[in-house]
Amino acid sequence: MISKVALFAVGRETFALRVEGILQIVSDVRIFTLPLLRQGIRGVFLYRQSTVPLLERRLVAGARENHNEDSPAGHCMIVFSTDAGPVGLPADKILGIVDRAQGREEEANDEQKNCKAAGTVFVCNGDRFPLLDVEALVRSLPQ
Amino acid sequence: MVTSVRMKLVFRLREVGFALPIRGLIEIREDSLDLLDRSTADPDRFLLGELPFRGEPLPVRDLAGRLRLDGKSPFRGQILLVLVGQDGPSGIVADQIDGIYPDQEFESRHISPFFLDSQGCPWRHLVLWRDELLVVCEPDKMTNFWELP
Repeated sequence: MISKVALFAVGRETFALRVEGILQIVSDVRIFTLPLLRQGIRGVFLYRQSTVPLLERRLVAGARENHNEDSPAGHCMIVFSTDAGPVGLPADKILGIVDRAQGREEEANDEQKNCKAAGTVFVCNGDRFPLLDVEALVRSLPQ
Repeated sequence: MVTSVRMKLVFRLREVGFALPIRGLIEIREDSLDLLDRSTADPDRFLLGELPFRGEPLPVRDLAGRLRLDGKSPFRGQILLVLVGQDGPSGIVADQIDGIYPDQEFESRHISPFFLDSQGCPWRHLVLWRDELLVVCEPDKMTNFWELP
């Protein structure tokens, strides 16, 4: 089996994500506000029989942009499996899914490490995509 | 013979919907908050004041404040729900009431406690009702609800 990487955009930032953990990419989901969720969680949405927390855009893409957490229509969610249960990652656009063999992994520079990229970027056709470590993102949720 | 009616009251507070089993509900009052004695208010314990209720003072609590829901005033809704409690009846203020519906309309939904605020999140259960997620309000489990950890 050839391992693949999904490339996607959140605002002006672009990212890579190993597809093994992706359960589904969904759009037009209704976000519910619930009280006293952990900081960094925008709300929850329903996916099959699960209640899935949606991570805030600023948690995924970093604090460099002034993110509007009230995501406008047309945005989608990447439902990703983690040890704590499925989580939703906000995405404005899915750029593509490529074989890992089409690119290479390199150590991230300091700026990209600020984007919770766990120290690695996926380099493909000359572009550098911070490779998101979703488990690390979830572990980094403030108490 | 008395039978327990298995129904839930659906009410709203700010942008959040709640489902309250009616076994936990004593009474719904509108416009009685004008009689609220605010001299006993204690913001640290989310106590808005007291109302006379069947000859006894009824503590009225700020559920929106306890749940850190946005809103300028805890009295926006002016609807008082009088709830059963282990320490006697107590009141909470709701913005809106949708109605009372049979339990069959509600499906239980789970959320991992990992994603809830670890500093004393007082709710644990969700239900799905007409394609909407509601927080289950459980008055019999509210004894320590109003004390922040």
